[in-house]
Amino acid sequence: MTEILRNWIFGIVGAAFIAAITQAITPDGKAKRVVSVVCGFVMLTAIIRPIKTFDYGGFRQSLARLSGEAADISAPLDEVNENITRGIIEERYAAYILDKGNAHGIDAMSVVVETAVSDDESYLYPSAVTITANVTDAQKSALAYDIESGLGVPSGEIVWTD
Amino acid sequence: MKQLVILLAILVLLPAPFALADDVFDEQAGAAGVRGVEDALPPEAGEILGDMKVTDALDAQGAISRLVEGIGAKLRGIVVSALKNAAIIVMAAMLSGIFAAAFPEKSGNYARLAGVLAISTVSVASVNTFIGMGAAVLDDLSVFSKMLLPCLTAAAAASGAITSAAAKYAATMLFMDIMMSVMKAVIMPLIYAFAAASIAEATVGGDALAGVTSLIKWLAKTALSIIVVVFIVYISLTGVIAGASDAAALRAAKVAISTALPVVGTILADAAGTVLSGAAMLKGAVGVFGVLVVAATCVIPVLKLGVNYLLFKVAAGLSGAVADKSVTKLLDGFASAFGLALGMTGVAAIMLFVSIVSMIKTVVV
Repeated sequence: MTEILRNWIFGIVGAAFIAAITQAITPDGKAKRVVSVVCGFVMLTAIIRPIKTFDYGGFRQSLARLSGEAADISAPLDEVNENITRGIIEERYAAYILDKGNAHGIDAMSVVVETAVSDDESYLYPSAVTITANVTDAQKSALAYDIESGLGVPSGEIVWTD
Repeated sequence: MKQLVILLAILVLLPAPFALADDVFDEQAGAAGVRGVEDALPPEAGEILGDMKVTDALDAQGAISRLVEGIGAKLRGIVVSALKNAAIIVMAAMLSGIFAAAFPEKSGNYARLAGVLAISTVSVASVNTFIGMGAAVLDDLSVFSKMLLPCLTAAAAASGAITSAAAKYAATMLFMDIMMSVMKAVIMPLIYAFAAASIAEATVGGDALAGVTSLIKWLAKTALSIIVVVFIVYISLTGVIAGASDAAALRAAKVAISTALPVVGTILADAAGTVLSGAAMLKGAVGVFGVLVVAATCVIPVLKLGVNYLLFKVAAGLSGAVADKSVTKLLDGFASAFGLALGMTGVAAIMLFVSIVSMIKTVVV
């Protein structure tokens, strides 16, 4: 690109010198008018020549390569964001379950929520829950119902431990 | 107005306490390479901004005050130095004019040449120094932009502008690369050639070389103008086209979330909002930091060039009453050389400003 611009500028300077010298040595009259027109065309050609010879393919390739570089640059931050998102989501899911547990009279419980990525890879959803608590069958059933209806986790994916 | 509504929506959706937001910001800042950006602070910017960090840029007013104070501390020295130069030059021009007028037949031409020689001796050193200073600024901006732009691109992409951030990064890096090469290989030689042609024109006298000096000046100005205009148009178009793609992608993601259960959807939206707002805050902080650093890097050289440009113009005007026309034109020529060097530095700064602001402005609904 630099070479193209350098050649362009030197081409214009060269054309300008030739045009100036030619016009200086041409005697006044019709001939000078014709020479002026020709010199004008020569200058115009020198100015617009790079538009034809510009390497548009190379320019596009450079842009594509740099766009790919941008994706690599974003990768570490994307990974961190994914971890942060996962952490927040799992924490909120666990908080929801704890809240529901409290409502059913389950006080001492710990919850671990596992998440999975949706089929279209656009969001994380709760896929399994592990609850550690001392609960009655009625409480277990009520909480499982709340988890299934609120978070969409089937009761088969809820693991109960003492 | 739209951006204010988006900002309010983000703030309302942020249920997380500030501690969580700070943790998210710190983690994101580490992954985006903020430390590298801070370490790449150019020395000229460091003199004005001190050991400023990206988080300091969140207090934009305080940061701007630092910049203004730094400029104020150096301004007097710049003006005094330029005035000394200009005074010497005006005296040389006036003396040559007085001698030429006093002894027109015998030593008029010699007095004119002596004036040209004196002015050239003083001014060429300045032109050389300032073009070298401009080249150093370009190098500093190039190094800094290679750290800043990747960090800003990562933050902008993380805040939702995936396609437009990548496209703008590609355009900016490519154009900056081209611009640096063109400045060093084409513009700087043209400025030197222009200064040399101006001295030759003043020495030879007459209008023989006037066309050459005008052409060189026109070429340098046109090359700079073409670079900056093409860049701004390209970045603007890229922002519009790629921005539409980002908006569509985000709408699709929102639709996908809304098809989930209400509780799940609310939690997902909260988490996404926290992460997006953290990334947006990071993008804003890095962007403002970048703008301040570019300003601090360029401001002193720009002031030096601008003050010298103005004073040489004033000197040309003042000496016009006494000195020979060729001497006045020479002073005007050197003023133009400073103007071209100023333009060279200004173009680099403008391109970086435009790309940084363009990245910060990528707000996706």
